[in-house]
Amino acid sequence: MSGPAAGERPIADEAPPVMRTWPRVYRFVLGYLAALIFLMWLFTRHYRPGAS
Amino acid sequence: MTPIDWIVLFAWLIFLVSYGLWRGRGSNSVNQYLLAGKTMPWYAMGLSIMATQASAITFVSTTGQGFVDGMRFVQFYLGLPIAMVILCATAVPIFHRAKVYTAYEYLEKRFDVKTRSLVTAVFLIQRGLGAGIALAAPAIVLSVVLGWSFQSTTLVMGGLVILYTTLGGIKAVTHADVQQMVFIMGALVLAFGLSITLLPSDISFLDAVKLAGAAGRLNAIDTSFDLNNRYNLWSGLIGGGFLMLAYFGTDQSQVQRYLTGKSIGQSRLGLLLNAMAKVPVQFFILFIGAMVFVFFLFQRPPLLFHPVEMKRVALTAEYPALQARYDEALNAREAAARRVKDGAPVAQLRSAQQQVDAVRADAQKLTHESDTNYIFLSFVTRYMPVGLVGLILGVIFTAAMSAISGEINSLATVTMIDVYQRHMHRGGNDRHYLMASRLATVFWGCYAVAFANFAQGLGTLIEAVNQVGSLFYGSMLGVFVLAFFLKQVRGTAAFCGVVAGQLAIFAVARFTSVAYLWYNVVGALVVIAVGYGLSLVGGENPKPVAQEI
Repeated sequence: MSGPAAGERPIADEAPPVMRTWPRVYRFVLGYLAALIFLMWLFTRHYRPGAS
Repeated sequence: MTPIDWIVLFAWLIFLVSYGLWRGRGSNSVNQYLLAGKTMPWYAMGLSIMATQASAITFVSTTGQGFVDGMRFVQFYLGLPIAMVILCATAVPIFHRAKVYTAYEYLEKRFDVKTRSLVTAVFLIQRGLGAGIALAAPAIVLSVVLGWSFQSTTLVMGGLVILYTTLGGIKAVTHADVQQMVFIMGALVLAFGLSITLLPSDISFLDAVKLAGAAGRLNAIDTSFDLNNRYNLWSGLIGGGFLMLAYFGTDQSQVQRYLTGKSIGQSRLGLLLNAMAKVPVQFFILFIGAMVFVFFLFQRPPLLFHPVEMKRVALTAEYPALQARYDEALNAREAAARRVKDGAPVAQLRSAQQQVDAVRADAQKLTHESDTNYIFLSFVTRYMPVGLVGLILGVIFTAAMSAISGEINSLATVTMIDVYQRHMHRGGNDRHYLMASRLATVFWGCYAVAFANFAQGLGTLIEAVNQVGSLFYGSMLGVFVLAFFLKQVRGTAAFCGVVAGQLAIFAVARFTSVAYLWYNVVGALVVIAVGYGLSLVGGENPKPVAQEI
């Protein structure tokens, strides 16, 4: 088959900026999600009807 | 709309299409046309992924949802960051190293041709339906607001999308999406600022937030567990997580985006940008809806936000009594809001709001269509300054085009790679396949326009079909989990797993009241269980190409 090939170049897998390893970046993103959920929970609780 | 708004609207459309075409120039090989030559930077991929996901109907209906139902819809996206992390660690490097154009091409490398063909067929059915509806749903809303016929709206939208997607390929789509996303955010910030500055002078921003809370519109997180409740923390994290894994991990409209990355790291960063931005952006859009709700506590809203239905209801015998009841309820609600602002209990505001909702519900019974999608547009067209109305409507218009272009581009890619090249014409040269890709793009664009015109007559079924996109994702996710993680599973077992998963999802949808986000969990688990179970009892030989991935 002489059809297209998706990539002739070798695929690079470089380290991420700032945190140096991908697992650290993933932990940061998951921690960020946990913080977001906590803040939104506080927000909901603070402003729920009859809270104040 | 004023003439200036029309000029701004058309100028924006011309700019976006021209910009997409300019950035898409040089797409003269299949690799350039379908994967942008694998040269895309992470921020372009990330913004393009967000733009494809945020269609116009999401834009107008999410704000409407914040107005009517509060902010609980944000929980739908809570599983997204988890899904992004899992995909960055698994699917992104696997797809990149497999050097594929489509996710389904990988399934033949890992399993066999029948599994690839089955999942390709599932994708083409599901996305084919989605493309028509992605065009029809915003076209219905925009045709009403712009005063165009539905056919004209779909033709303009579809024609422009076909033009830049066919000529520029994925580079044009991605670069147009980046502009689109930047302007969407700008338009949202403007709308938010306006909803605050137009409040009465004695109502501060904090008062507005307090009133939105008192009316139950700031209900972002619900920690109760209920399988029949569509949006709570658990359905979002688990059901939403599975849906996002399936959407971003197996849907070609998303996979193709991160395959355009110049490296695995760039693709990962693009997905992680989406992981970090999506939840706050959705929170912000819903919050705007809540602020528009507060704005209408002090500005008299129409009985119905749908302009055509409002005119129709105004001609009925019931209208005068309804309007009188509505005026009375609005007066009581505004008075209650002012008392709550000054520290009174919220019960009066809740009760007054129930009266308003009851009158609106009675008026809705006289109509054919819900007006939730018209709330934000009603606010924009009535209260935005001249020029900005045209810009915001233009942005909504092109948001629809952005979602459709991504869909027809991915449909064309799968048609060319997984159907035409694999089953119909295996010995062609690059030029031949490039032409086939362009023709497939034109075909799917025309199909979307034709199906949109058919779907318009289906009425509320459009919403139903939209919601049950989850009918297919679970089994698609399941087969990729088998492919990535269970090396002992072979083609026939995976194929049977997909069939069983699909049947299980249909059974759950038909015979239970389980909320649709959970279909993704059920489908994926059945595919995995059946595929793995059959591999334990079956005797298929291992497939050697699996080592390369």
